[in-house]
Amino acid sequence: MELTAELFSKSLLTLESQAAYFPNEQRFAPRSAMDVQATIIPLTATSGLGTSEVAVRDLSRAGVGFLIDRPMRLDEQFALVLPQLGDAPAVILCEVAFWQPVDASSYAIGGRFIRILKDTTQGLHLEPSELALESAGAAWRESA
Amino acid sequence: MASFWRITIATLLVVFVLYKIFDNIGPGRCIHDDEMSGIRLHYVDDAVCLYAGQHDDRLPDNLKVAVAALGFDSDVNQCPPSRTHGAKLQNPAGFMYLGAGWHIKDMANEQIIACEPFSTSAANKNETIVVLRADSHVESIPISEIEKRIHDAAIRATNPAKIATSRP
Repeated sequence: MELTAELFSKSLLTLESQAAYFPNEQRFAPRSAMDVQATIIPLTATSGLGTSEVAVRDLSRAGVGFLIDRPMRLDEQFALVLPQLGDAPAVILCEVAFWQPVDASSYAIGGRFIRILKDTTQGLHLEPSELALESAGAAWRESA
Repeated sequence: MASFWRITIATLLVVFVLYKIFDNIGPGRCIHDDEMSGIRLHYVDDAVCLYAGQHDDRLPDNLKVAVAALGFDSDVNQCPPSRTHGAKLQNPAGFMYLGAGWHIKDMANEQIIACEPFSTSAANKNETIVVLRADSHVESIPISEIEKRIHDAAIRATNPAKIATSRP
């Protein structure tokens, strides 16, 4: 299953409606566990912009957590591509807020949303980047 | 009398030059952001090359190490200080550093070693991102051009078949 703009919006709406707040939770934004594929465009590519397939593990209004087969540096920027039915894909600019090797060929990445680069349907609503102090990837940091 | 005029003209010239300098970089003013970023990236280039020269051609793991080797405080010369979210970045001057793990001899000339973060000035489509390439060339790339490349790559990456599989 692919992470689409529709699924993205639905997941964030669900998070809002649940308003699941735990007193011991220090995380800025509650997150929703997922198991879907997504496409990212690393902006650090040296010869043209390529794409990478990643396994999304969780999502929050502040960021996205995923597994990827290569290391990503702290603060490295990438674009999260969200396909939309019958329209050009939505694109969200993100930066790496957290990374951790999981095994020899897998890295857990916590990406922080910076801003929406393209969303022709205006259906995506994110936290302002300055407030997004905690990324969804914090889950791995806690479990590590 | 002639020497008086020579001294006067020389003094006026010095005053004029000083005025032009301080008009650009005096208190409360900055050199144009792109120019300042370019100057800082040239310092970065000096730093990483110096580091590589001392470490078997290997680029530093981060810019802080490289800039420290030059004897500079990595956090100075931000202009203006709050232009980027530099405080959150761990690289000097808020640059995105892409050289870690590379050897200079293995890099293509056009390969980017460091650049401004994309979000720095994206509010204005006419603005640019300044990048340092492996051949020490510093270049400004219009944000609109980068956004177009991202959009093109995003469209290439998606297709209707993929979207259909995600629907129940």
